[in-house]
Amino acid sequence: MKQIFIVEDDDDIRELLEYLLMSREYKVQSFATAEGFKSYLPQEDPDLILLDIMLPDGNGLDICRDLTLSSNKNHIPVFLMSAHENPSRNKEVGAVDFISKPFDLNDLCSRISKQLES
Amino acid sequence: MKSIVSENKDDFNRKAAQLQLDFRQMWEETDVPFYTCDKEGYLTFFNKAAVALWGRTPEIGKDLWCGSGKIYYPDGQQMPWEAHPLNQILRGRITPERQKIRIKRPDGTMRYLLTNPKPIFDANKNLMGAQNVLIDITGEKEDEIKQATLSAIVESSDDAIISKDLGGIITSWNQGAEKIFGYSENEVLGKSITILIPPERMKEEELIINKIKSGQKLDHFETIRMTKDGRELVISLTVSPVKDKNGNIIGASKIARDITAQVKAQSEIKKHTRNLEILNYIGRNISRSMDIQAILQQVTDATTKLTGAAFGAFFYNSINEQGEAYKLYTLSGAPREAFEHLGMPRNTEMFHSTFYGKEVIRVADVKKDKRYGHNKPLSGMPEGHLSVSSYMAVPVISASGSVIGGLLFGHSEKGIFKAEHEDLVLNIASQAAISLDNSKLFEQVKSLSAKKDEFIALASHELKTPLTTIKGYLQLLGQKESDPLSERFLNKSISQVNKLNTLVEDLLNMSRIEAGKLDYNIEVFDLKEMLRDIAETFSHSCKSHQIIQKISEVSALVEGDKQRIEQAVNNFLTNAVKYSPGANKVFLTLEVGERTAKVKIRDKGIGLTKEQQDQVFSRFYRAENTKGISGLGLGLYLTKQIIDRHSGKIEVKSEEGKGSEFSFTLPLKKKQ
Repeated sequence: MKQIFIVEDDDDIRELLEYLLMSREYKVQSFATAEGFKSYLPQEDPDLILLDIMLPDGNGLDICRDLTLSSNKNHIPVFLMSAHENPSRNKEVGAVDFISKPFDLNDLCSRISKQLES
Repeated sequence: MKSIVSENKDDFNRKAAQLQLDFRQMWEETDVPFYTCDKEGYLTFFNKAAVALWGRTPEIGKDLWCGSGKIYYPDGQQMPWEAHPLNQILRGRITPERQKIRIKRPDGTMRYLLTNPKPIFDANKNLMGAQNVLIDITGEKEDEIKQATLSAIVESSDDAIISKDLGGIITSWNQGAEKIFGYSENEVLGKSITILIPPERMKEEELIINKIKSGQKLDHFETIRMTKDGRELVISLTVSPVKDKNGNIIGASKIARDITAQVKAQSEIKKHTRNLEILNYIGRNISRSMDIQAILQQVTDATTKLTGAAFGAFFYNSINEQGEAYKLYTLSGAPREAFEHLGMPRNTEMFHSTFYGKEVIRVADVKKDKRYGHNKPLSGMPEGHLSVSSYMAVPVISASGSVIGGLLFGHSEKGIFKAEHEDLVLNIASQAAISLDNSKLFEQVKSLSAKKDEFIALASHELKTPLTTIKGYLQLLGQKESDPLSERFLNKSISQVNKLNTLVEDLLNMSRIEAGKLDYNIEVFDLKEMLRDIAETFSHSCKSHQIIQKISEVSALVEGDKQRIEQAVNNFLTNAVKYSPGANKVFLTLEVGERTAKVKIRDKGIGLTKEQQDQVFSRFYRAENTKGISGLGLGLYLTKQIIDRHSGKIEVKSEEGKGSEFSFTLPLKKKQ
């Protein structure tokens, strides 16, 4: 079973994503803060990270860049999420895809499964 | 036989007659003009020399007194015949010997004569007549007159006319020289010309004398000379060599004209012209500039130049949290370090009134001013302060009356600043104040605008978060098994959420465009493929209208932001559907040309009037007949901005009631 980490500070969106992905047979671990995510990360490598950009204690772009530059986590694909679109910056930090909010559930699921199949 | 007595008498008479003849002959031949007359004045004898002098041959026994025409006194007045020296003599009057008279000759020329009249007596002492010896003194007399005239000209001249010998010793000195230099003739004759030359110009005299010695002339040489009371004059000097009869240079004549006033006037004119130029320049430039720092620098530079200050500074009134501070803003003529370590000038007795807008302060010598040195602990200028004697401070006051700041000028020499400088600086300061007020307003507007953009960015983000949740949960609900009615309602809700999202997106994009911050993600893509995808997606989501495609088979590679072009096409299609409620078809066309691709979106809807067509791309514009059709009036404005940024051309053709056709072109990517 593929595992996905969700980093999203909005409770309702996080719950929505958890429900959606679990219903599609993914193992889900979710975090509301950058700190919570970073402290848990060493314990497990997920198959994909769904990362919100605007977090109360950090910026998804910075976290993504750190992951890309790290030697042991740079193989994990990252999907950035934001209500502000800015695709060029996402490429710079090494994200494989960008999900603009509000998103379409079917579109999101198909992009995730495509990524995990590859 | 003749007696011896008689013989002797005859002999005597014969001898006397011979003697008379000899004398007469001698008088006739001599070069000395000579003539005689009888006791009535009729001429009895004259010689050739007299004829030559008179210029005519008089008639014996007919002409009276003299052989010439009219006679005159030496001063030019006509002399009556009674006053003729011979007439005087015959009347027994004593006449001065060698009396001078002037005669007029028939050819109109005048001669000056000296007369020597003598009476003639016979042996019995009876008056027989008179004789006159004439001496022609015309040449001497003319020289004398010329000399007198020249002296008069020299004396009456306003220019100083001085002569000196080759040793520089003054030999003549006219009244003009006295007037200009203040020395009287007696004071300077025999003294050296160097008394007029300022010590630092002593070398000049050497050069002048050398030039004169070599026979050269010095023409209109401008220099400085000193008066008796020590004033310095600007003079224009012409020095020429003076030669004696044999052509030897024996000295120099010197004509000096006082041109101090003229030079001063010229330099005044020059100064005024320059001032006007600076005023003009500053007026033009500070009103154009919106940058406070640039305005202040220009004002500081210009006023420093205008006042002739060694340095100028603009202190800007800005109050810090401690409630006081003067921020040094701009400097001219001195390095920033010269001021940075010094205290702010507002709090001293000297500067207080300037910076509170009361008055201009102008002092000739700051150290002698009663306001100077009252501030402890320094009681004067701090160590390392620029050397200042002349000082001027001018407040800069805004239109509202608040003091914006102050301009300070300094110079190490005393008495540099004049009343006219006050006026100049006040003039510029008031212009600068207006510009500064404007810039302040401009800064405020800019800052408000930035705040607005920030707010819109934040608000749109905040709005999208709940939209994301609503859309997500509605979709989740739709995935549950439910009755068709619920599904229809859910789809309507989702469609409205999408619409709401588009509105929020439009607002955000508009604020980004206004701020020039709309990012474009440029890539190469095929417009043909894109339009086909859009048409397919559109036909799924739009149930009311059928999309009729007429898309070129040729691919159309363009360079641009794919997502935003897609957004533009979707916007046109959405509008086509929205504004053709009575129709069921919309048309999408792609034409590929040589250099451009053209996309057309046509509907059979309500159409636009000519006036509406002109305005349809303006921001917040909504046609009047669109009541009941929602929208912010941003869609076409944003679309035009996007197409413009891609160097494309956007157009509308429409007929009211029949429909509209919107089109845009994009440049094709050049083939490599």
